[in-house]
Amino acid sequence: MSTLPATRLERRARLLLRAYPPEYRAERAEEMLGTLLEAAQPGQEWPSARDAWSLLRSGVNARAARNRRLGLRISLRQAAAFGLALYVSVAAVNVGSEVPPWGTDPAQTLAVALLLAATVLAVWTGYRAAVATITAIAIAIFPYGSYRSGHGFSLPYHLTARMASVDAAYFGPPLLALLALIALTQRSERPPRSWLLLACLPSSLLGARQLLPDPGWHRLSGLVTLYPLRTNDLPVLLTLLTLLTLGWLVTDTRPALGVALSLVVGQLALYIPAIQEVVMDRAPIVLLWTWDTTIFKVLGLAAAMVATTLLILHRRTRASRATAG
Amino acid sequence: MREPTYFVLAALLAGPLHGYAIIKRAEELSDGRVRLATGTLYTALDRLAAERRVELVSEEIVDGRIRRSYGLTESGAAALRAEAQRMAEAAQIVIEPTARSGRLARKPRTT
Repeated sequence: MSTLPATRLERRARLLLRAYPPEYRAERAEEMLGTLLEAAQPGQEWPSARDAWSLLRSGVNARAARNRRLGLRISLRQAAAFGLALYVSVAAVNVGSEVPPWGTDPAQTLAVALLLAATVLAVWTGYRAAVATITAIAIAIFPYGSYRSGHGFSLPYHLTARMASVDAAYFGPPLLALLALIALTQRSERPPRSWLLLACLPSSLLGARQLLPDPGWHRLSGLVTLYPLRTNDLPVLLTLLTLLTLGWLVTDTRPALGVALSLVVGQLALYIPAIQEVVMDRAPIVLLWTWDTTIFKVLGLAAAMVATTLLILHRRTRASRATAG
Repeated sequence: MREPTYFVLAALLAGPLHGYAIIKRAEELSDGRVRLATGTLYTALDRLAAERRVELVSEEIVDGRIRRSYGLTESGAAALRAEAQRMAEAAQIVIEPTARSGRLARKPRTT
């Protein structure tokens, strides 16, 4: 990096260069900056519109090319790991928010925070032993916290085998997903840190809801969905996830695949307790279809994301073949 | 070959140049028609280097920043000549249509 004081033009050009992948910037940024500054007029404070557009376009193309070079196997593993991480983070937040009042029991809050930390650590660091230890601590802490707060895990409630097994159906899928995540992740194949933005969305949404006044819609409907968060949060979360992943498709198809996977896993996991209720209570099978039509909307969204991703991959493959020809 | 790529290679015909010098030379050679933006130049240089048509010749530090000079490889020069030949022949169809049709008329039939 130059030792001369940075001018406004240089600072603004450096900002535009952030469109390129970090490893490309490390190699080329200073050289490109030198060329750009040499080509500038005396007193020029802003990069020209032509230069700005070319840097942004070339940077985005460089990112897309880097992601394509990863290969299908690694890309799918990273997408799957990210999808499971998103599902686990949503489920952990949901479990925490299911037991009111949220945040009043330090042990319970700590357990959910530990599960979120384990998820992040599993995907973005690949430290399997640390992740397994943190998960075990979280699992041990959570019932203690719930028992103290008098919700969910009170002793009479748990003494009946039926309800205990229903709880296992609620908490089992996220824990299984976390175990799959630990098996999937490798330190050499860590996904970009920018995906953390998506993974932290559910907990951020919950945090925002705690800070903002509650419109109370879920009380009107009398329903609390098991996935993800409460009924009135679902459209907000899905809209944000869809918009962000659509933006990401310009350079990277992996987040869209991951989000699609998390939606499918989340919706299928939602039906496990329902199936158990049907089996144990000998309830009519129609119970499975009386919840609402959310499952069709969510699975439709997941299918649309996968279809868009496949279309983009097909077009890029065709374009690269044409270029090579 | 696209026009910016053609003029990047043409700019290096007289010898190795660094980024800004390539931009200036391409502009001169094209009578101001081709004004390469920085992003476009380095995308072209990356691609041409991957295709072994240009190569890194030297590196120096100027004003605390690295400055690299690029030169044409033999394969790059050959590709440039082939493209120039192709364009010249294509231009001849329009500029000297009678001369070309005359040559075609004189060409003996082989079948």
